[in-house]
Parts: sequence; structure tokens; C-alpha cells
Amino acid sequence: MFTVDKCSRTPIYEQLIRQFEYRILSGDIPANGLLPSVRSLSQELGINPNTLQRAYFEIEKRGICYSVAGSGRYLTPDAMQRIREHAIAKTQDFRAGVVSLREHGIPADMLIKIISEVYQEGKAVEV
Amino acid sequence: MITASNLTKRFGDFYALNRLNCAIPEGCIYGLVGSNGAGKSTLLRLISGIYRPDGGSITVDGQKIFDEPDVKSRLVFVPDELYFLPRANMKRMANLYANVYPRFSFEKFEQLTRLFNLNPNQNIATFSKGMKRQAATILALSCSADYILFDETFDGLDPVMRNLVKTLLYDDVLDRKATAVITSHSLRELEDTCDQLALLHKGGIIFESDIGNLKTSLFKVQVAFSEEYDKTKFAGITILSYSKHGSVASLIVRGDRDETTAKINAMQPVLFEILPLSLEEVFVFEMDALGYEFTEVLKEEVN
Amino acid sequence: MKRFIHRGYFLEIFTQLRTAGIVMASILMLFNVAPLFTNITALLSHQLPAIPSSTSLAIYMILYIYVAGLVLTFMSYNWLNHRSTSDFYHALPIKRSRIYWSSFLAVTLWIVIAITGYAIVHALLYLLTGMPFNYLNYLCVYLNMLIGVIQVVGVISLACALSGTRFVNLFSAIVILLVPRALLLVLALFVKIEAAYLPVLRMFFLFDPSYNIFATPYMSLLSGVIPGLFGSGAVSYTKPLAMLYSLAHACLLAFLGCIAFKVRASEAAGIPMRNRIIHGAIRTAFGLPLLLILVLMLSQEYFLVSATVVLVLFAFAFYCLYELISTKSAKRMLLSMPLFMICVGIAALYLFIPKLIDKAAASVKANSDNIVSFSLVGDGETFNSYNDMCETSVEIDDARCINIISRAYRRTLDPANDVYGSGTLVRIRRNNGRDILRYLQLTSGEEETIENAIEKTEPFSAVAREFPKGLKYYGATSLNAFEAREIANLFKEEYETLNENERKMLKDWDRSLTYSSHLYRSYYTLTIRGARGTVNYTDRIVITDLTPKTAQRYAEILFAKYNEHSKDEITEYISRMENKDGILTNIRIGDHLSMPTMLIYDQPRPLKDTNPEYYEILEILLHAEPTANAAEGATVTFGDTVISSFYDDAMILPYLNMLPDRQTCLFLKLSDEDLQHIEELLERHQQRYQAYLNDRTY
Repeated sequence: MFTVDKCSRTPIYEQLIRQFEYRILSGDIPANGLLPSVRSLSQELGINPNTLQRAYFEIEKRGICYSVAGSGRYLTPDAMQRIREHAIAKTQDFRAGVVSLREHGIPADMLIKIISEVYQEGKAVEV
Repeated sequence: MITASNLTKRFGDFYALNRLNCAIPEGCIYGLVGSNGAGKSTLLRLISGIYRPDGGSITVDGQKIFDEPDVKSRLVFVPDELYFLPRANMKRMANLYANVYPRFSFEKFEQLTRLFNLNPNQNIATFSKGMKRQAATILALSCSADYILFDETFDGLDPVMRNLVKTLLYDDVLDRKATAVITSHSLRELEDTCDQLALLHKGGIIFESDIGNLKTSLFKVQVAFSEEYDKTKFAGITILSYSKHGSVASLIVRGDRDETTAKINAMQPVLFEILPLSLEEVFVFEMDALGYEFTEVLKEEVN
Repeated sequence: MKRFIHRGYFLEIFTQLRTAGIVMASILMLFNVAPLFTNITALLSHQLPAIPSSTSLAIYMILYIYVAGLVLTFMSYNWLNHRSTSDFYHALPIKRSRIYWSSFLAVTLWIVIAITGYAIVHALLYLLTGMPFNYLNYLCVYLNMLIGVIQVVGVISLACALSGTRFVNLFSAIVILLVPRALLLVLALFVKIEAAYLPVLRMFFLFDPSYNIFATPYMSLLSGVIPGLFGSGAVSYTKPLAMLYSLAHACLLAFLGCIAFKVRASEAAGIPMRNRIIHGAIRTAFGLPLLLILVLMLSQEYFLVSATVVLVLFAFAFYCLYELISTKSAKRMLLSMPLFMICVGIAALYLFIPKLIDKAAASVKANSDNIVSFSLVGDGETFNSYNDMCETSVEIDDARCINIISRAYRRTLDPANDVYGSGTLVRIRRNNGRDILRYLQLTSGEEETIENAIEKTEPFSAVAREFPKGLKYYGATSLNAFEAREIANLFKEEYETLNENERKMLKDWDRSLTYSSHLYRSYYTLTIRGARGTVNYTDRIVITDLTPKTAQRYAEILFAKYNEHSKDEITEYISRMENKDGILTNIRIGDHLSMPTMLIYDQPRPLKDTNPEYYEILEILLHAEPTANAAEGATVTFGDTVISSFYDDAMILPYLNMLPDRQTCLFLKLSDEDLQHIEELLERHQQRYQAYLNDRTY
């Protein structure tokens, strides 16, 4: 189920986008599956429908879903792929961050330890 | 779309609104925040056709509002001081509204009274203050107006009711592209409900924006470099606030996050963090940039 | 209509006013209780009251319209004066003009319902009891009232739309409605003082209080209090032009109210009008009358230079001090000077306009050369006889009379002449086609000449000949309405058989004629209260043996009613007189012989010694038998009036003119000799009483 933390500093629509991505990656929503409607979600979560619309537009822009007039929004078949591609693009930042840490003299072992700890805490999504 | 263009309203020598400009689109929930005396109520009264502008104009889709019943029937106003007909119950009020608002829906009225668990045949004078606000809200919503104006209505409702009204408003926004204009003292209040926000101060709109934009386009950057540097290092980035402690600089940046990230990364920082801001913080910095003291502009409601 | 009235809003306001409307209408209806009571009493005691005048009919409705108009209009605009209600109503999507007219209609409707109900019941009170009433006049009064409703509601709506607090609303309404006319009336008063011979109130429609009755409600009262001032009957409810003018004025006020309402700033809720205007008005209210008094004195040359200077300085000082005290600003005081100058200007107008009018009137020539004819115009709504009423339409062109009028006219222009009374209103027709109206002072000789001339004219003779025409109500002592009508019809038949002289004598009965000096026996008076169109008259016709059938029928009716009680009546009368038991009885024998009890009630006992003539007469009456034969009898009427306390002569006077509480009429057998003897006895008693009075004053 979707949740939003209204007290968080992260804007709501950003939270929503992240949650969509997570749900999609974990296979909760099948390919070509129907995404929850703006109305039902806004009712359920108690958030402004326009805010929801923004989130949907954003993921539509990224090619994750498409809308059918009168029907709703459906997951594109290659949604997962696109999400991953987007995430992979983010590894550039990660690489830049690692470079910075290396230059600061942080040993690689420490980094690797941190990485395995993080991955053990949370569950990675099956590719 | 409600458009205020250089709107001015004077009471004697006091200018309640001074060349105010704003645009309230269809299908949104528009929050208007400002301290007492800022002019919120005056603006709402101008929009609902109670007052006549002394200067400038206030129009709905280009049509003037004052003494134009065709336009006014698209607007309904829920004031801060509620008034009900003497010895009236909700049914009688509904009859009056049905007589003057062409799209009043008794079906919706009945549905809402049931939802809020209010007795339409009971004398409204016996209602509690909160129930009176609910009654007023129900009547307003039943008018199926395109623009519903709430003057500090939610400040008096308990959280359960507030949520209920919120969802009802969302329905109207979705179904009919209705717009609700809500005024409040409290940012916190409005943040939950609205998608557009405007700050009113001394008779003018200081800024108005989409809430989402507000929170994403303004963010905090903490960055450190190994070499010496000062503010000039960040040319090309819009900075609202700059402070430096030791070698760590805190910047409040307005702009696109990814772009800014790229730019800073290119400078090879030792430390680099992007932090989102709360709406209040956004306001503080925007005010600052405009040259206002936040505390003088907006008094936060103690919750 | 749909464009002006919003059905939903109208119903809402109408419902909101429901309680007040019904309560006030009920109070108004209560005012019908008094006439109900008096009419039933009159019906039961066989009395025939006079036809009510238009003013007396209108007065309660006028008061009601003011009060209800004020209360209901204030209530309907209550919402203008508080922010929360003002916001609520102003936010409704209804055109402001529609709100205004719907409100207007709601208030007006409640008032109209009340006065219509009252008027219908009032008219029914007269219709069902058969009491004299002029229905046409009442209809005219009612129409005037409807116009008045529009006026009052209009002016108060206008006042509410202009300003923000109750007090100022009321003040503005009074100023807008009443002050302009009041100023004009004061001007008319000044003109009248300057030129008493001018019928000021008829000359000019702005002086005429029949135009715009609701702007001068006090006129009806004033005319009664100062009768000589303006003449009687100042206010007429039956002039179509006056009603149209009032209607136009009313509509104007209503429309101005609508415009003020449309323009009104809603934020004015609860904020009084700008104080300067009020202060200005108060200052003027005090300063202007002072100046006007000064003008009056100047015009009448009652002034001393010193008094003038003192008055002007006083007014000026008051004016300045007021301004200084209230605004504490010398600058404001200087700024208000223009208003003072305006007051002085207005006062100057009051000084010069009357003189100008007087000069203009005096320059009008009316003499034997250019007077074609003239007529005596009636001054009021009610006439003392049918003949009097018809006199007013007679044109007199007799040369001698024209000379009289010409002389009288010259007299009015001579300032040395003293004015005695209010004079006779005369309409003079001149050969250039322009008529003039003047009050002329005529000596009694001149009046008689003119009367005679009138009587000789054909129109008047025709009238004098005929039995009164038009709506009629009949009354006679001790007869109910049906009997009175029967007698009247009988009389009419016989009347038609009489010659002109005889007819004239019956209508113009000269009560100084006595039985000893004439040939006819008089019995009683038939009272006719009638109306022709909108004018009322009261005629009293004497029944004599010139109309024997009528007299006979009367005798029969009385005999049937009272023949058993005649002795009782007389003995009771004697005992009351002797024991002073609080009831005055007046005995009338025939039509003009009377024995007023009050002359002897308080005299020293035993009355047989001090008033032997009375006892002789009573003996005659006691021995006279009741008869049903008119030829051999005479009417003896006993009229009782209950008195409350009785100490000296001064107390008796009010009872002299009162209608008795009860009247009984007997028909007793009295020969001509008996009647002559009674006449002589009464004369002797009169002399004795006179002597008694003379003694007492020592």
C-alpha cells in the first residue's frame, strides 16, 4: 500500500514517485496493469489530487506508464527497465561520490563493508 | 480563472489591498496565507462580489463580478463570521440557496447532511460552533459553484471533519474542475490541503506558486572544498542565502536539483549534500530574498 | 415584472416580516372597535351622526402607514447595518435592484393588507348599521393611502440605503420627506401674513397640502387649531391632480432609493454617515428658524434696529460656537461659513417673496368694468344645508352684486383696513378670461344682497325647489332608520305638491318665528345627512302641517310607541328636577319651543315658587292626552343627558350642545291656544330667569 509522510521535508510528489517505482520494481503491479486512479488514491491518502496528477505526469514523462482516455493509467511493458535505466543514471553520482571519498583517503574495504551492510538491511529487488 | 489586476480596495485612508495581482486557476485548491490585516478577507469579499473595487479589476473568465448575478452564481462564499437566517434550520437555508443558486443540488445536500450527521430540521442556533461551520460548508458545497471561497473556515474544525471536507473538495476538483480558495493564518493547515499557495502581505501578493514547485525548486546545499573559496565560486547558481562555517558552506539554492548537482560536482567538492526544505523554511528564505522579515509577515499559529 | 422582483427573495423577506406585519395589522384593526361601539349605540338610540370627514377617516391610516412603514422597512433592511448579515445578503447572486424591489414589495404588501382590511371592516361598520357614510370619499382616501405607502416606504428605503445607522436613517427620512414641504408651508404662512386676502393654499400646488399629503400630515391638525390661518378644509383627498402629483413624488423617491441602494458600498455597514453632513443639518435646523423669525419681524415692521442686530448676532454666534465646540477646529468653522450664507440667502427669500407676491396680487385689477361674474366658493368638505352646497356652483352676474364685490375688492387692497374674520372666499371671473380667488370681507348687508341675488337665479331656484338629491340618510327623533325612510318618502311626495315659497320655508326654517305670529304648526325636524359626489351636507327639514300626511304618519308611529308612558315621563321629569338626581332633561315642544332643565336645576327650592311658569306648562302637558291625530297634537320630546357632577353654572355649558343620551317623543293633544299659552309662559320665564341671573351677579 502507498503511504506518504506529510511531515517529511521531501515533497509529497517526490515520495509518491519513489513509491511508484518501488511497487513497480517489486512486481506488485503487473505489466500493462492498471495503476490506481487519482481519485481513489487521493481519497485513500488524503492528499491533493493535483499533487497526485503531478506525480503521474512525471512518471508518464519517464515512459513508465501511459494513459488511456476514459480508462486510466496503465503500466508500460518496459516500465521496469526504464526505472532501472533511471537508477543506473544515478550511479554516475555515486561514482563521483566514491572518487571524492577515495581522494579523502577512505579505504575501499570500508566502502565495501558499508555497501554490504546496506544491502543486507534492505532487500534488493530481483532484476 | 479568477484574475485580479492591480486590484485596489480602500477603507477611508487605509488601503486594504494595493494594486494586487493574482491569478486563481480552475480545478485547484488555492491557499491564501497572511497575517491579520493583510487583506485576505477583503480579497475574498471582492471575489464574491460583496465589495466593489476602488481601482483595478477582479474578473472571472474576463467578466466583472460586482452586481452580476450570472457571474456571482458561480461563486459561493463561506465567511469567518457565519450568518444564518433567524430561527432557520438547514432545510430553510437550503431552500433559500436553491432559489438563488441555479445549480443547487438537493441530492448533494441530503447526502452531505447524512455524511456529517447533522439534522437538517434542527434550528441552527442550537448547533455548536464547529457544527455551524459544517453546516455552512455543506450549504456551500451543495451550490455546485465553480469557485468556493473559505474564509478561515477550517481553522475551527476538528481534524476528522477537516479531512472529510478535504476529500469532498477533492471530489469537486476532480469532477467539476471546481476551485476552492482557502485562507488561513497557518501554513501547516494549508500545506496539507492546497496545491497552490499565495502569501498576502499589506494588501499585495508577495508571491504565489505551486506548492510542489516551492518545495522542489528551493533546497539546501551543504558543500565543502579543500581549497579556499567564497561565494563567487558559485556563480551561475541562484543563491538565496549563503553562510560559511569553517570550510563548510550552506547555500539555499533556487533551481533545478539535477542541474545544480551536476554543476557542483564539476567543482570537485570534498563534501556535498542536498537537503530538502520544509515549507516554512521555503517561506522564510523567499521572504528574506524579497526583503521581508518572516516573523513580521506571518505569525505561526500555535498548534 | 420578473425582471424587478425575485420571487425567492421576496418570499423570504415577506416571511421574515410576518410576525411584525400581523401584529401591527391587528393593532390597526382594533381601532375599528370605537366606531363599532359608537355606531351600534347610535343605531339603538335612533341617532343620526354626521358623515365622517375625510380627515377623520384618514387619520388612523396615516399614522399607521408612518409607524408600520418605519418599522417594517427598518426591519427589512436590518441586514445592511451589520457586517455579517451585510456580507451574507450582498454575496447572494441576485441583482441589487431586484433585491431592492422585492424588499419594497414585501414591506408594501404587508402595509396594504393591513389598511385594506381595516378600510373594508370600517366601511362595513357603516354599511351594516346604516349609519351615514360617504363611500366615494372613503375610496378616494384609500387611494391616497396607497400612494402614501409608496411614499413612506420609498423615503425610508432611500434613507436606509444612504447611511449606516438607525438614528441617521430616521433623521434623513424625516429631512427628505417633510422638510421641503415644511419650508414651503412656512413660506405660504409668510405670504398669508403679508396678504391675508389671498387663499395661499389654493394658489399654487406647492403650497397646497392636498398635493403630497404625506409630506404635510400635520396640516389637518393645524387647520383645526388655527382655523383663520388657512381657511378650513385645507387638505382635500379628492383632487385627481394632487393624487397624480403625490404618486409621481412617491415613485421618484422609490427610484432614488433603488439607485442609492445599487450604488451603496457594502462596507458602510454600521458606520454612520459622515458627520459633517449631520452637523451641517443640525446647525441649519437651529440657525434657519432663528433667521426666519427675524424675517417675520422685519416684514411686519415690528422690529427695532437693536433687536435685529441682536438676533442676527445671536444666530451667528450660535452657529459658530456650535461648530467650534463640535469639531474643535477654527478652520472647520470658517469652512462652514458658506452654509450660513446660504441660510441667510434663504431667509432673504422669505423676506422678499411674500412682498413680491403681495405686490403682484395687488396689481391685479378687478372692478365693475372687468368683472363678468363671480361665485361663492365653498371652503370645505361639509355644508350646513343642501342649499348652501348648491350655492357654490351659482354664477352671479347681477350688476349690483358685482359693484359690491368690486368695492370689497378695493377694500382688501387698502392696507388701512382691519381684517375681522377670515372672510368669504370668492371666485371672480374677469373679461380677460383669467379668474382670481380672493377672501373678501363683506358686511352683513352686502351678504344679504348677494344671497337674495343668488336665490333669484334659475340654477339656485331649481335646487331650492327640489328635494335633496344624491346619497341620503334620514333620521328623526324616536324613529328608527326604516320609519325615518318611510316618513321621508312620504314627505317627498307631499313636498312636490307645494309651491316654491312653501318649499323654501320648510328648508330654510327660521326659528325665530313663533306660534303666535305664523299660520303653521311645526312638529319636528327631519335630518338628512347626504352627499353629492365627494361633498357632504346636512339638511334639516321641518315637518309642519303643510305636509299633513307626513305629520300624521309620524303621530301614528309615536302614538304606537309611547302612548302608554306619557304620564310617567312627565312625572319622572318633575321628580328629577326637584331631587336633582344627576340627569338633565330637556323638553321640546313642537320644533322650537324648549324648556331647558339646566336653567332651573340649580335654583333655590321649592321650584314651584321660583319657576311657576314651568309648573304651569307641566300641568298642561300632564293633562294632555296622547293622540294619533296630527292635526290636533304636537310633539313633546324629552331628551335625557346624564351628568357627572354639578356645582355651578359653568359646569352646564358643555351639556348645552351635547346630543342627549336618550330621547323620547310623545304626541300629545295640544290646541293652538295651548301652544300659544305655552309660548307666553316660556317668555315670562325667560324674563324671570334673566332677573334672577342679574341678582346673582351682585
